[in-house]
Amino acid sequence: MMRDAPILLVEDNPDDEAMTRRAFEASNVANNLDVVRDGQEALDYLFGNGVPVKAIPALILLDLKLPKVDGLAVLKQIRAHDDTKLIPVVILTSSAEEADLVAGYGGGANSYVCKPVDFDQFSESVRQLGLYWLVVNEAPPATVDR
Amino acid sequence: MTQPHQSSAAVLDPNGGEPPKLMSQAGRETSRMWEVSFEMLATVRPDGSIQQVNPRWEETLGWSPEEILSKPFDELVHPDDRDRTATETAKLRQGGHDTVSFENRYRCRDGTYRWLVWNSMVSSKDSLVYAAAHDVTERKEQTAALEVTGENLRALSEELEIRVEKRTIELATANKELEAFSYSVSHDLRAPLRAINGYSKAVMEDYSDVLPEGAKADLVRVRAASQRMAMMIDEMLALSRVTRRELLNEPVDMSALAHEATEELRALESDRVVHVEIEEGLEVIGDPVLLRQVIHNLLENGWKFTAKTARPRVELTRIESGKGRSTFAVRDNGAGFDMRYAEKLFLPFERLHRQDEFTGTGVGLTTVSRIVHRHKGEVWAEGTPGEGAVFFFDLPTEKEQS
Repeated sequence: MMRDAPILLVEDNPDDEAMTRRAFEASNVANNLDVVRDGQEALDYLFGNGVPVKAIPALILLDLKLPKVDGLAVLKQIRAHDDTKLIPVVILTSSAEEADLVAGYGGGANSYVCKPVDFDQFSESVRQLGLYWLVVNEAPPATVDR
Repeated sequence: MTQPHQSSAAVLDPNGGEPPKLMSQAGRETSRMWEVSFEMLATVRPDGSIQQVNPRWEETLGWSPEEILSKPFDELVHPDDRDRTATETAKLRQGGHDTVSFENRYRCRDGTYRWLVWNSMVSSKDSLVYAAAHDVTERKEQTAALEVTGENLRALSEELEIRVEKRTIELATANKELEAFSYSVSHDLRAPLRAINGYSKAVMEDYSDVLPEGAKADLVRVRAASQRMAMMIDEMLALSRVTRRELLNEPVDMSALAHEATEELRALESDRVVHVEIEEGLEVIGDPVLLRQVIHNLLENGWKFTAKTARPRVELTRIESGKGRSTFAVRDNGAGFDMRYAEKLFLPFERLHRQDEFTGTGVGLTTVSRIVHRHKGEVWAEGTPGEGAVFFFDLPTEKEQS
């Protein structure tokens, strides 16, 4: 069931999107990768705002620095809503600034990954992420039930 | 000189006008007191004319006794003080009230004014006013000068406060901008590097069957360069964090930090045998996190530049202490450096060795220097090419009185 739910990638940089997609393809993760390109799109995707909600993702990969609504604000909304509050959220971002780490975990992120510049390392991080959150980890019941 | 300007007995003897020789013993004594008093003494008749003054009047105001006695009591009073003086005199004349410490200005013969402070009383027997005055001009002037000085000081300190406040705001703004800049560098500069690295890898993978070997080798270089730049960005950020971090002020065991750093270096390069000697008990006062970095960077430096030395040796010692500070040295027998370039050592991204000789980004010693400076210390180095280098730095060993 988890395998059917998509992974939601919240990422505004098309290059990073391409790299993440490529890394997921290389790691044989079966889930669809849905991509939204700013914080507002992410909220629309998750909460509809008039449009029917497409799907509740099995995993959200969230960048912090995003146009319109930033990643921490998106995270806050995710954790505030019953439908989304248990979805595993991995912050996948460029910086490991202490303030971001504190705010990320403080906001209820399940994991924080700093994207390595080297593609081999990046691929490896994404592979491990997919493996851990979609296979090793037991998903919370709320997301399974939907 | 010692003669009263008029018969003082007239004032002091109730009968008045009696020749001095007839004065009682007490009268004569009182008369002498009249002569020697530091105070200006006078008697004033009910009509306001001065009956009698002692010699202090002439000494103070310059008027002869005759001149004084020919004027009404209040004629010499400063015009601005006349009303107050008249009010005070009227109160005194009504009785039941003595004048105590009343101040006014009196005109001198040369046209200047002196401040006088008065004590007076009315005698019910002869209706004369008995008055004593003291010249307080100097005290007044000093007080006025002090007031001006105080006023100036207040104005100055206010101005200073405003200036400090302004600078603080400017500094806070600059800090905020620096934070924003670092944040932006940290997020935005890395993304294109990731793309350069990733697409190079993608080209290598997707077109591996058509790419000539030379092109693949070039792409490997592109990727290595992007990684190197990422490393430099990281170190630049670490350097800026050193500057932004709030400084702790606590006892730090530099020897223990050095042992830890050595263990880390040994773990990273377990195939190398470097003789490391650390003097025990090197206690300083400072920020443990930052000082760990100082020790780590300096030992790592020694470790790195002895890579081509037959019997590599790195040591940390205290070479001097006193006045609440100690000077330490990290000495190695490695590649050393030419003293001509010594000042370049601590500049960011400056290196004295080619990348293919010794790797590095040239930030390690800059970080050391910034941290030591933040501890109000100095850092300097001595070296000889092929023989080794010594890095000196000094740190506080006592808490600063704040």
